Amino acid sequence: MESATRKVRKFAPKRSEAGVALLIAMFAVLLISLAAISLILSAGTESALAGNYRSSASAYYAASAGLEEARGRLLSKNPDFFNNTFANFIPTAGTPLLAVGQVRYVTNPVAAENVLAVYPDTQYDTEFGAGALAAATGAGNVKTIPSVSTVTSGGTTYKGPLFKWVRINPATEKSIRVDVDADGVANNSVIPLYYDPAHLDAGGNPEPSLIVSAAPPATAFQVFEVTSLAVLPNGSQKLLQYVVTPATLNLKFPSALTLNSNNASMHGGSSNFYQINGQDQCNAAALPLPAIGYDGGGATNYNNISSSPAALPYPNNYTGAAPPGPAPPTPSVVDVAGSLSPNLQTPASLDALVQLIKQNADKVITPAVGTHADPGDLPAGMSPTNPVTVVVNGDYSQFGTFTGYGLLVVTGHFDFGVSSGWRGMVLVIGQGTVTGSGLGSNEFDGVLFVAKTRNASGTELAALGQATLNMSGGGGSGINYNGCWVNSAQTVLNYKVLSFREIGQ
Amino acid sequence: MTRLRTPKRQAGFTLMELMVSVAIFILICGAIFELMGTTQNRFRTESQVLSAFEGARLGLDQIVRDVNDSGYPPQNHFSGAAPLTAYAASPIAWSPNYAPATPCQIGTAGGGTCASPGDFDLIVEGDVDGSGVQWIRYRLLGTTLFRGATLKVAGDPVVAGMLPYVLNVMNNATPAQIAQFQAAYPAMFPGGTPQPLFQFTCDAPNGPVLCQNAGGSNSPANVRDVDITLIVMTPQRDAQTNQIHLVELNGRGHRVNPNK
Repeated sequence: MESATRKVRKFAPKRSEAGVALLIAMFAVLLISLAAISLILSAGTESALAGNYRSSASAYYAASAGLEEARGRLLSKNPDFFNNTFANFIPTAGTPLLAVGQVRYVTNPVAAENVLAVYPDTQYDTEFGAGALAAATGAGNVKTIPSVSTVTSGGTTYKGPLFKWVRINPATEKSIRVDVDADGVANNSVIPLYYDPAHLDAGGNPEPSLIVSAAPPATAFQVFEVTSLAVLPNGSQKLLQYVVTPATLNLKFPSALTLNSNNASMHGGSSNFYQINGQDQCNAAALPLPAIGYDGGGATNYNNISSSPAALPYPNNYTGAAPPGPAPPTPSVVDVAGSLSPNLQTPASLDALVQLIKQNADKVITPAVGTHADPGDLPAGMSPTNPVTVVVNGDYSQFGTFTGYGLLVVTGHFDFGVSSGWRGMVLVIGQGTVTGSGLGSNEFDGVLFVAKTRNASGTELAALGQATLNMSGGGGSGINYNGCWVNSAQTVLNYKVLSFREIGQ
Repeated sequence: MTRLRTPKRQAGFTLMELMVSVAIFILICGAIFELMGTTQNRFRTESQVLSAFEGARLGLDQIVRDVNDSGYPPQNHFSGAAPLTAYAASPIAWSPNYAPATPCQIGTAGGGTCASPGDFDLIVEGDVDGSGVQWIRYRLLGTTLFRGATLKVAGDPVVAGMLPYVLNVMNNATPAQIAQFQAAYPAMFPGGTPQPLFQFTCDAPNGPVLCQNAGGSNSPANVRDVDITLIVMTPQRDAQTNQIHLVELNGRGHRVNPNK
């Protein structure tokens, strides 16, 4: 006790001073802490705000990325085309291509997560009725394919956007909540929707639109609904939806054979079997087109084809729309200048069209100078159900027993033997010269279009030059206009977005 | 034990000690309170900037979203004779002469023939939430950006019951205010003129261009992108410097739906 008291006494003054210093220090620390906390709080609010905004925008763009991946991979010329890795993932033939009840998913998991289990697609049942997805799954109608958005290159993995899945399915009135046929209710969940670029409104005017039809016209394409879900690690979600349809070149021709100049040079086959027919062989009810169309530039009486006896040895074999005026119905040789679509009218627009086709072609062949391409250069796998788009950037010769399918563009000279033919469209735009020879009975079903847009050295002309078709010998079976072959050869340029919406969750 | 009771040893501090320590204490406290006051002022200003920023951000986000989602469902979704109110005739609606559709020319700084869209006025059309096709209008009146939505009807777009949406929007401030702003923020008001809240990019044959430069393609029906510049002022001046604080936010809405 005593020793303790002694200790107290000894150190008492020092202890009092230390206490004050401690108090002051504590008070100062408290004040500084308050200031620091207020600063931290303000910074924290700011970063939270920035975070909210960023995640909303990020989820939107992530979901858009999913939509774009699916839209791009529907296109057959895309190297990542769905069917390249999963046979018949999106059927390319049949009406409809995808029946209602068929569901396709593109999944984009992080690590090994099962995205369809972790982020279930409840929207499908909203669109197609309760239990619809379970029914489709039970029937084996749900197929999934992995996303290609994450790529590995040189040993490094580059992560793609954070969408979870993209669904592709046929669209119906009910699923897109639109009363397509304006019958008062958007209730049809059975008939898949089609998009008809040739649809006419009640007044007979062109009005491309969706249609509800169990038997859609040949000009219509099925539309798909593409729906994408993005979920960010912080939980923000977006569900976006496209309605897409193939957009084609939609080329329209005024006649079975079009020699696109007003001083065209024509020499038909010398056999009685050689004919050119403007009547659509696929649709007997359609109004016939002219057999031969030329561009008279408005001078309707100028017609050097039918006025030359050597041009058409059997005038009655050229049937189709009758020429105007008191002229006899055959030969059907008509000035089509007024009905040429704008992209077929001038050298510049025609060359632009060739460029567009080139960009979307299955194959572009450029033969070496002084040589020509031949059928052996065309893409393998060409068939009536798989028409191709080929651009020959030079001369093309087609001899032997051969039939091509699709869209053929020749910028040089087109030389063929009449045992060969083509189903679809043949455009000879550039040098604009065609010669046929030999023996045979093959034919061109579809259209043949000839225009001279460039001179011999390849310079673009200011005005169209002389288009030439010269058959030596019998000439085979000639040319028959056929709307079905023309339609099947229309190259798909891309999948067009018909509509876009954000689905609230 | 006797030593413990010695009163002399129990005395506290001398007066001098006490005065010196109190003086030091007051000095330290003064410094701390001075610092605290500055921090408080700074905090008040910053939180004002922040709330201006927050308001502007929410507004901008909503405008971008409305533009992105505009135009649904498009007319191409109807094969039958659908009523005019069932579809979005144009993602960006206009006045005058919206029905029958006679497009006007979009101008800037008072040019053009459109009453809307313009520098400070935008009407988007579309079914954004499943409740039917609506007109959603953003309009800057004075320094308040108003927003309103009504179901589409026939005729020119009319949006009733618009409510204040973002306050203290200074894009169309008075010349005196702009001169003041320019001193503090030289880059924010180039040319010393009001800054358009909305700028429109139109689809043209050779690619998108500003609508007022798009010639024959200048039409609200051709608008592809809407650039939004939102300049918002804090409600009060800086307590320390008496300066005005402005916040500028930029965004871009991109309409995806076709215009027919």
